[in-house]
Amino acid sequence: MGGITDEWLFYGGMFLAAGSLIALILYLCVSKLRFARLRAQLEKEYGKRER
Amino acid sequence: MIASTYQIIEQIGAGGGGRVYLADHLRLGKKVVLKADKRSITSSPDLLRREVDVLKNLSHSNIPQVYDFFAEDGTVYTVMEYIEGESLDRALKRGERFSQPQVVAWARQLLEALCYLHSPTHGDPPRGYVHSDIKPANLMRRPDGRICLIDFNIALALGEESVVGCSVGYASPEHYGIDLSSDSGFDTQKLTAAPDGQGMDLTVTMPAGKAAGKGRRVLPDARSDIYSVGATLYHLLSGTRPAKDAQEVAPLSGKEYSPQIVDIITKAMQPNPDLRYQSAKEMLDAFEGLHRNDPRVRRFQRQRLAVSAALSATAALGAAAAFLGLWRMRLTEQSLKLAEYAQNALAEGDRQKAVSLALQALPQRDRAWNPDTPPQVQCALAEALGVYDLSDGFRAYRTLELPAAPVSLELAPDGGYACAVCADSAENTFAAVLFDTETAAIEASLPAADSALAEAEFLDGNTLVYAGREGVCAYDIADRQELWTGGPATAVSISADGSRVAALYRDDSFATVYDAGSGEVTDTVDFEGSYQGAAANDSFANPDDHILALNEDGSRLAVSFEDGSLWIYDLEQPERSVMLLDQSRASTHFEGGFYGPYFAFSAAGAQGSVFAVVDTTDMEQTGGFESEDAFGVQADADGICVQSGNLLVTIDPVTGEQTPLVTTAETIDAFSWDGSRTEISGGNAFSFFGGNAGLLSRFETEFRYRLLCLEGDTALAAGGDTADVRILRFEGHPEAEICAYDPSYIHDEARLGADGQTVMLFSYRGFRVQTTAGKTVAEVELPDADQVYDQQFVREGDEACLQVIYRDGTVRTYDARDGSMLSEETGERPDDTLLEEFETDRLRVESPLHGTPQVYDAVSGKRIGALAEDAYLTYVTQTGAYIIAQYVTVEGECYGQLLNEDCEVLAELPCLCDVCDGRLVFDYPTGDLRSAEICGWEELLELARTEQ
Repeated sequence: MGGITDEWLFYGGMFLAAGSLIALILYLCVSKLRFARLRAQLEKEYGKRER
Repeated sequence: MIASTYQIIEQIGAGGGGRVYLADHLRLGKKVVLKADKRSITSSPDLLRREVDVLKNLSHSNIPQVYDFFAEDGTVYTVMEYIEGESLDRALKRGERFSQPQVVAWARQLLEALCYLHSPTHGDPPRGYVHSDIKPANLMRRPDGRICLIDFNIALALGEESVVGCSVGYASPEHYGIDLSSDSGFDTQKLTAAPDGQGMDLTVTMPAGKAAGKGRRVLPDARSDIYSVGATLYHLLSGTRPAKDAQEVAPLSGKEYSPQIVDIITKAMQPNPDLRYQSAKEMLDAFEGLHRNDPRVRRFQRQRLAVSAALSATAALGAAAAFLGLWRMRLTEQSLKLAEYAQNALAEGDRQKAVSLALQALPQRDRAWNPDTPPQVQCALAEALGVYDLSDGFRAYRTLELPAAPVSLELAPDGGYACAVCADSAENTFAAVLFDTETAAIEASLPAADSALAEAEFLDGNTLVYAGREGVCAYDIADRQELWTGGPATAVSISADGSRVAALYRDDSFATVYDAGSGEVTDTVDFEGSYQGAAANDSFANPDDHILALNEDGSRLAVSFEDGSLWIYDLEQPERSVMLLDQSRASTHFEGGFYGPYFAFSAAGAQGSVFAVVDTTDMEQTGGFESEDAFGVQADADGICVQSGNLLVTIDPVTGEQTPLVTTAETIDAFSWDGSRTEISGGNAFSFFGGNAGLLSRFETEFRYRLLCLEGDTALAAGGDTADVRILRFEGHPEAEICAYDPSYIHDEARLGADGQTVMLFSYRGFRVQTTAGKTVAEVELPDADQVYDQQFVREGDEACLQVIYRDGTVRTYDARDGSMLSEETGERPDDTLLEEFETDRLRVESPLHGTPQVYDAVSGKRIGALAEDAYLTYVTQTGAYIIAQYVTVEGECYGQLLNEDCEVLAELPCLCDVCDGRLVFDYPTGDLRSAEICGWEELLELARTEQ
């Protein structure tokens, strides 16, 4: 494992996992907002989407 | 009035196919639409009727109901539901423009109607119907905003070829009879309709170079309706009617309208019907998928998927890394714990358990994700195996846990078995626990007399004589059976020749002597009312407080009594029995035994202690002394030894000459001597001494061990504070011997000469050079020893020398081969404040005079770690991948540490004095220089597994 200690693996991995999850949640929230805007734009162009 | 049923209200439309009237249905009383078609119907009346019936059954929210169909006066009338509203062409003519969403909504309604109409579910046999005249004028916008497709052409349903109308701009090429499908064989065709729009004769004009000719006739089908829908949507969206010629229709702008919708309309209006949507359902799906298939939505979804996948993968990777790190940390922690347990087990005296635990501490090496073996594990294993302890001495072997703390302990003459008498608190009894010293397994638990005074002794390596519950008993160990049983007994004694066994019970005033082999009573000794006795409850009585001893041939019996007297009974001539001590001294503690014809004893009481040796041939005292402190006495076939305070000596019974066995700093609590080596306990430690009172081994313990046994190479230690019995074995390493020297020669360091044939022992006071065979070559006293600042032994190639550095800067160099002075130079005064530096291939070690040596990377200068802080670093040597650090403690003892390249300790090297040609050299206080190879990891494992 070279210079990478087990502590690096553990804490680094935790940091990476937590950071990625937080980024994913934030991204999904932002993308929901963006999609809502896109949907509004589409409805403006194509009318309401009939399910 | 038409057909006597319909009253025309007004004409509401007219076109190429006829007129459209709003009429009242006189019978139903509601408005209907009458479409009068001038074209003649050539179909049979039956067919006509059937088709009318089918049309009347059409039901869709976007298609008007057909009520009836009849012919009158050469005109065919279709009666349909009246749709209130306005046709879209009127709105277009007014210049009304429709929004794209509105057009899309109408497109869906129109296509739903067409899906219904085209589906082959109508009539018998089931078939679909083509509208054939879809255009804005035939789309009625209702008040609710929805549209209705009107002007259904029944003629086409009948397959009438003559009744197809062509609405310019909306009609497909097939309407004109032009077949532009892929298999039509025409590359390019230009449509030219007949001037009056009537008839089916069409002229197809081919480009130059191609033969012109009549076109292939084709009827409109569902795809023609698709074209018309596309054209209608084109007009509704752009406000411009499409060109008549399908190939000349100007494309809609992708910037003004949504590209998807432009694509749909363009596809629907393909001149080649094979390239259009093949069904209304297909085109409807295209409209319904506008949101879903929009490039922006697809791009968004792709991006969201990619980012989510990337972040999820990163999170998963992070979690996996964290799990792996945690797993490895856990394994390492487990290994370190087991290594610590191994060291604890070794400290407690169980070497087998220590080796086993150290092996358990190894991570599985065949798994790539398991961590490397921590250096602490290697250190624990090396320590447990004792690979770097080449001294002769006793080593911890095993530890046995008895049912309770023993009150007495005996070891068989060959050291194979041992017996401990201990209490069984559950049953409130005592037992003689027989165990194997090799396996530390309890072989038998023999019921003993209900007294803490119960004794046991070994007749030989296979026979145990003990004070059993039923009486004195001889037990065959191998056969696991009693040989014989005698009368009640607590104290037991066996003659040195093994022929007689004497036993007495504490409360009895007699002793019985048995034949050791048969158990027959050979003698009874009457004590005339005296008894050894004890308090009523003797659970805490000390069996060592009294003497019951037979002499060598069983002819004399020494007995001490509760009244403080001591007698020697002559079993052959009872009248010669003698009282050695009377009751006046009120002695309470007696020790002693027979050595040949001599009886040595000590007696302690309120008036102090007395030691004496008596020649039993004439009952004359040959020596003795008194003291305030108690004397310990051991007298047996090996001789007589006496202990007082911190001294233990042997005594010649004839001359009284004393020879020291042990001299220690602490008071000796207990001892055992086997004629050559001595085991003692004092405080929380027990030690072993060899000849010349030299210390062999010492063990610091948590408990006080007061029961000691030593026979040959086996030793036991047990005590009242613990139920553990420590089993130790003597180990010698003569095979590792380099040379032996007089251990009384005081020196600080020892080094091998360059040729390996000489040894130099030196200190600031002087040095001695001797050959490895033991011959002294030179012995030199250094001048001005108190001015010596430092000494350095230098070995380079074939030469070796000792440099003696003085405080004034003088350096004298002596040849390590013969001790001759090679040179004397004067240099700078040595600086006390300077650091001492050592270098290896990768490391640089800085050792301050006072402080902890620090280790740095030789190239980068980065600090790697520190060495031992509680000793003075003398040398640092690199051998292969290992680094050996040598130290001297404040007590002047030398030792070393085996380190890896990260300066982690792999093994402790007690008494290390030199590293020569990759071999470790150890200097032991017994006057032995010994060497060993460095044991690699694999070798250690192999040794451990072999031992297990």
